[in-house]
Amino acid sequence: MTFRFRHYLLFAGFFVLATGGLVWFRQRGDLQVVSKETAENAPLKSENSVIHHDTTPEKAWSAALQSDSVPRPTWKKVQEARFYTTPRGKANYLELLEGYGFRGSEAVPYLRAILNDPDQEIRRAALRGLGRTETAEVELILTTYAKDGVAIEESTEAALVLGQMGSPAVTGKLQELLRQAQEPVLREHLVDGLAGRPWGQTQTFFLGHLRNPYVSVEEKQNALAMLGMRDTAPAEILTQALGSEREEIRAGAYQGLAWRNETAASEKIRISLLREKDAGVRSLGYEAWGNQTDASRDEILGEYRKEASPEVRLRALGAWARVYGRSPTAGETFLPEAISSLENVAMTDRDPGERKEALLGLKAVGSKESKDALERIAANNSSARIRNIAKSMATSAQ
Amino acid sequence: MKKLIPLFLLCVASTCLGGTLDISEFNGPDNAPIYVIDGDIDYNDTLNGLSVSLGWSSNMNEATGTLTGSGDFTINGSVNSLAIDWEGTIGANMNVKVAGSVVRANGKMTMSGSGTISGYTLDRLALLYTFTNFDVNPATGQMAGYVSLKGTAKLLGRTLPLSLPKTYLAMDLPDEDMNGQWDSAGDWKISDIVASVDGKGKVVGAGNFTSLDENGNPYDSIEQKISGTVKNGVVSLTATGKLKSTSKIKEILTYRLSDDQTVAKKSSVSAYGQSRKF
Repeated sequence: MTFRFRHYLLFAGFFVLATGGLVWFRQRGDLQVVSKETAENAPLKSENSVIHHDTTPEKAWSAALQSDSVPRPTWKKVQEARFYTTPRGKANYLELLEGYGFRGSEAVPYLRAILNDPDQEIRRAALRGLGRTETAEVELILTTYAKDGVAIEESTEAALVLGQMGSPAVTGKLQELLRQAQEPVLREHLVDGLAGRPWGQTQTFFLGHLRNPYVSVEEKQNALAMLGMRDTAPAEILTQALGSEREEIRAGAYQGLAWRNETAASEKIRISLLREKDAGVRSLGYEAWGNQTDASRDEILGEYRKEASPEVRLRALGAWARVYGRSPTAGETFLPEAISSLENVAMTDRDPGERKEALLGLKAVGSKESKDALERIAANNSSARIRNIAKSMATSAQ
Repeated sequence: MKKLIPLFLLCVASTCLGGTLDISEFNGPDNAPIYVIDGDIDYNDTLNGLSVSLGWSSNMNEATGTLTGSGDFTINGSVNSLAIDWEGTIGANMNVKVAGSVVRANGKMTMSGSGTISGYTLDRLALLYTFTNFDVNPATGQMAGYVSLKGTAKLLGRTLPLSLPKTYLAMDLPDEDMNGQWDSAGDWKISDIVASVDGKGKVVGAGNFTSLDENGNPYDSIEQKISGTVKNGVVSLTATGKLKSTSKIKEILTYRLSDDQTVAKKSSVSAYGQSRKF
């Protein structure tokens, strides 16, 4: 089977969604929003926009970001959608199945019956719909799915759905499921589910998990990265992990710190980098450093000068470029060298991935000089792909 | 192009103990794709009265599968009496996890910039979106999952907090007005294989793991060390990244010398945070 998927659609999709931060597009075919919190009480509404114009900036903002609306479909509507004949029709059916779950306990028997459907996508949509019912009965159903021996697509779905349910009791169930699970992919998803839950519920678990000698370092690395992504754990959990003897765990901490929002752990990262020998881990360290709100480009530059590995030097330059790009200043003496070094990598490195990384660094700098470098790369690079990317970056930098 | 013939091994011949393992290249089969989200787009479109323009680039870490991206945007127009003019930068940090045939994306996207809204000057608007468990389904052309939003807007010298609780969202994957070269066929290969076999059937050598786009252009090329055995007419090879930082990029190949075909379910590939058996 050939499965082709143009991934740019995914990120274009995320961008379209992001533009909806100002305006929630609600017409079918563009984007639909269902607020979980308001779902239970809100009346069914027409498809009119939720945006309101007002006379004060506070109210205008409040209105612009408000999301009410809840298409909680009736079972009749769900049933009608089931006779789809096109991919769009199927997408509609899957969406309605999940949305039907917002009706709560009345939806459980219907959605439970759908779990016998021969189509796995439909069964997974029913699992998601069951999760939306937020009922204790469903917690038990889902725990029978999030186990070894169930198709990995469905067991991981059940794990993630459980992770999103509101009941605090779910946290203990996920931990129990993790104790039982052997399949690494399922275990990873169970940890992902736990990482998104309130820290007050998971603190004891994660502190124990990260210390547990029987848990693999790869799993601990994933846990730290996901805690950083979810912004649930305090940043100290990540910075403390930088003190681990295992470099995989430190790598997870760097990943988490590269992801976590609004952290100021530059000094701890800088000190931690002093012990890192592996080029890959050092690279992750620089990615984390560039994400810190208190990152100093002079300090990054100081470490960059000491780096011997071309791979690491490039990441250090990338971190410097991101920090510079956030607050550019006139007369930065290192700027010409930074641009020249990045341009050299983009022109000569044997690995196209490294060339691309250098382009991202140039883009992050955001100066006229870096734009000129992108234009030179667009004109002269030996790789057509790199030329095209540089051309697009130079154009968007105008 | 994806392979059209089931013969995966190229130039396999005359392998014997105490000689050279005569493989130059192995092309990853269709049932073991490794997806690379990497590329650049230049996107211009009109959405409900808003003119949207985006320049965006991303790169995926070949060892961890995490993705970082950055770009610029402009949004202007009018929607339901709300006049919007906003421009700035975007950044994203995502990961993609594969469970069987399912592709799910998680991550964050930031948008920050300045402009006006309904005549009010936006000194700064910064938004942080968190995307949770987005199930990406190219078959139905939709993606669905949860999103939440935090941010601040600075208007008329006042800073206003913005937030949206975790909210279910289903949306179409856009499929038009997209200019760019992002694609992913999941293609990969091990090339430039040079390996020797000693008298006991032990294999030692080197090669390159390369991930490829639909047109055969490489995303990344990672040097590999190769080890393995030749025993009873079956070759078992393990190729791993030469450096510690690339050691998670690993391929295991098991194939018969008699017909150059892989033994079912005895081979695997791990790269970009994904693993496949074939």
